Amino acid sequence: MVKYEMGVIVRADLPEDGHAVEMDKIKALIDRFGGTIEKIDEWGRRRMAYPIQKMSDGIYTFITYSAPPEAPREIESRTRLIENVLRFLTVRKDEVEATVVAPPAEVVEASAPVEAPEAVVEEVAVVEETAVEEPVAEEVATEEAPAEVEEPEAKDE
Amino acid sequence: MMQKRRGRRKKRVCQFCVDKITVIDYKGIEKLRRFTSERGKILPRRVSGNCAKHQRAVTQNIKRARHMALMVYTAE
Repeated sequence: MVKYEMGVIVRADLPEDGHAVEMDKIKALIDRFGGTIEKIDEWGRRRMAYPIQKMSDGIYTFITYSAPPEAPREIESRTRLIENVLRFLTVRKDEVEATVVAPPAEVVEASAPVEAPEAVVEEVAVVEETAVEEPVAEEVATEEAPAEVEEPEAKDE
Repeated sequence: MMQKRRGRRKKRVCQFCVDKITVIDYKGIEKLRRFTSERGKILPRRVSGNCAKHQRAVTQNIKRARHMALMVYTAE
């Protein structure tokens, strides 16, 4: 079984439960080809970066599922026939997932013992806090990159 | 230092290597957007400063994001 993530854009101008109907079709497909749905990430209605079929909005959904390696091809070829699906993209997720978990764990270990030596309950709280703060700090650090990046860019054009 | 190069050349290090980021996801468009020009073109490695490995990952994921209409193919 391999882990996949399928992103789907459904048109936004369907009647109320139209989106659910389309998603059920896709879920049924995944099920039919031996896949198990693990997570469904609903982004909801979103402005697309460029119009597709003259529509500027789409409803985004990302489904994580594990299935045998021959399943995505079947699922995709059948998804293509659903007219209300504007776009879809299946990406392998297994190795990505494994690496996602690793780095934050390191950070937590490093900071937790210093700050919360007393109660176990407190320690958990601190761990959660640092886990949440971490991405923000990260972003700030990397944000310096674009400034540098833009200068030489102007020279190019 | 070297006369040929105009101005001081900044020593660029791959931001992903520095931050030990191993995952680049096409859904994280805020991060990817930094590696495109205003017109939506992918910045070359010499500009972005990425290492080969991460530049490849960035490029791949920008293209995915474009397909899913999360990023533009071209502006204007």
